[in-house]
Amino acid sequence: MGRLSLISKSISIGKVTEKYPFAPIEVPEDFRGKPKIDTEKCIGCTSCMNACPPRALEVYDDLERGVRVVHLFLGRCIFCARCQDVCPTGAIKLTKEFELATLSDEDLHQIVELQMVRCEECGKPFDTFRHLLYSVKELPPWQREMLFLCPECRAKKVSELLTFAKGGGGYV
Amino acid sequence: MLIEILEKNGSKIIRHDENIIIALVSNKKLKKVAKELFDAGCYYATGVGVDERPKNGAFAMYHILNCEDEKRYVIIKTFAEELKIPSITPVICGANWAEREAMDMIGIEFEGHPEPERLIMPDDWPNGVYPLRKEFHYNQKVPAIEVKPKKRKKDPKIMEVPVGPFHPTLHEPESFELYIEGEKIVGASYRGFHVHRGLEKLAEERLTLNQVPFLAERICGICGFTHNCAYCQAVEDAAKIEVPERAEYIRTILLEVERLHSHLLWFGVACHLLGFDSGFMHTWRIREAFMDIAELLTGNRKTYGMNLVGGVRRDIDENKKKKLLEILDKTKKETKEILDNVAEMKELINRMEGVGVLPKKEAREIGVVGPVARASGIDTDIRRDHPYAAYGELDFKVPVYKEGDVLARFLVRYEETFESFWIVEQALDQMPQGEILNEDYELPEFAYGLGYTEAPRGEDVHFVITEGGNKLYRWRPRAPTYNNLPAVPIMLMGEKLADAPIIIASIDPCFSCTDHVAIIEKGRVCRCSLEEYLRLKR
Repeated sequence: MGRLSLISKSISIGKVTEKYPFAPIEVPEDFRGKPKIDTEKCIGCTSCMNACPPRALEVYDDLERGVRVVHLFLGRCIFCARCQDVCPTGAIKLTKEFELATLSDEDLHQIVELQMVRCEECGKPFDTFRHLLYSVKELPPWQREMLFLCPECRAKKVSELLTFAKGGGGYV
Repeated sequence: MLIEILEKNGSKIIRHDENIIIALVSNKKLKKVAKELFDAGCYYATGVGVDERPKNGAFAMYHILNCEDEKRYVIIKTFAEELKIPSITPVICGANWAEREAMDMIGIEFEGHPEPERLIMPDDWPNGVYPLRKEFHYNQKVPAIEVKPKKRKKDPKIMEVPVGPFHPTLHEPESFELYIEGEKIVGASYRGFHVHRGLEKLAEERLTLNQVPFLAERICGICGFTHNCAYCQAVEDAAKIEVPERAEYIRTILLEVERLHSHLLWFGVACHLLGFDSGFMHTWRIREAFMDIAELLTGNRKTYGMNLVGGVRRDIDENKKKKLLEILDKTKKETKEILDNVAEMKELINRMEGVGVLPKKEAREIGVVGPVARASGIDTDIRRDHPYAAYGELDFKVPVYKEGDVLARFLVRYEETFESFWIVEQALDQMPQGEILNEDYELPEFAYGLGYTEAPRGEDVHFVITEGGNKLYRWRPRAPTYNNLPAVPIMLMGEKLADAPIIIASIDPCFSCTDHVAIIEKGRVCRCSLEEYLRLKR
């Protein structure tokens, strides 16, 4: 082969350049594109936040309004799909969408707000409704009674119960 | 034999198995042990400085050597008594950068080091602040100090030609300064480490065990998967995690797909540098098919994100396998057609033959790895010598050329490309059924692990010390270019200026991978300074 055959080769191949962006481009079935949170399914369990390597996903509690905020910032996302792996309810999924260039910063944020439960004793919001409902199946019956107590009040109650069971304390 | 050398010198053996020996050597004996190991056929892989004050109350230095004859890694550990350790650079010059890196990052003083100057940290970094010590935090900011640029003597006969701070074709931050007399290069200096990103600190302090693979993958934009694989293997070695066989095969397939696309990329760059742009276009057109393969198997063109400690995340089903074989079959023919065409062009061969020679002796002393070593007559390949993933069960040849010039490096990569096709086909054929991820493990406290892979550019070493829970105590990745780069000034010596770009590119440099951990190299390689080169010339 020499230069001439290279020319004939080039002619036989023709154009290989894609028409993109004037024609759409196909991506395979399992493509890892923009993550999307299903607001109906998310329970605010924070496991995606713990798995996310670049901290693109953050979950924090807004105690004043009593909501848990799941905040996804695409500017940090590395499209690794770890959140999809660890999500217990399948709420977060990576879509096939990859055209993320935008002029406004707002397009890069996705915020999910989940209503929180207030503690029966102290009135502090401590967990989301959905997460409580999800985890109630896992709890032993004696703990279900204390479902609407925040972890601190629950600990207090448990120690009270224990002292009661031992026969000590001033309640008898 | 290695174990005899260590025992004879009264070292305490910490770990001794098929692949790795770890020994604690006293400061007095260190130089002698290093010399004897080097004479026994070891080359210097990398060095790691560790702040072990919370555990042992001292700083420690680990020298990692690879013995090709015994097919084993030897790690010699020494404690820095009063922050001082004797330097082994006078006996193994490959240790130069690693020791200076430990000096910058940990603050250990190496007694008898021929050039104890700053390597990694920028000139305006304050003295006495060491980022890899445990009291330094990853998000800590330090004020810059003022620096005055050093005055350099100028020789009216010699002209300085800067290449960089961006490589003309590779688009990476690197800066060579070539010293020219007429047309000939009489000296060369490299200054790098412009993009040091503090990965190690980040991994130690902020990331958890299964988050680090994604950071490791981003060390390199071309051979990221091999870094991520080496990291996972290091942790698996430390925690004695068994990886399912199917996962090993999937890793092998992806490693080879990565090698294919990396080598084709290099062929394209080489053609472009030699002025043969059609070759560049054609190799990159073929390479696109491998990017599609990667997208099909992993979900993305680059940054595969496939590895976790204990296995891989996605399976290769029958459908994907069929598609993969179809693409491979087609690209194999095309690759052969184009590369043979390139290899038959006399003008290209003339520009590569006898250019940028790296003799075997120098190559061994510096400790070059991968295709650069194989082109200089050193028969080494981690895949064959230290089988990892599924390479132990596969059949492949390791091409070795004696000439040591750019053409030899071209031919080594040429043969390797077709070996890679063969390896992928075998692996797809032999792949067993079963699990792909083993998540049932516990991380021990303070265990050592070593992971090694043959990246497209050479041996890739990751050293890990675990902390327990799901954290790391220390992680040290070493990219192949770290070992290959010091050889470039030797190759450049006495060549024409017009050949400089192809010579620099012939090691397939990955400057940013090297930089994540360390640089400032001024006009010198090993023990030979610019002044000495100039003296040699006259």
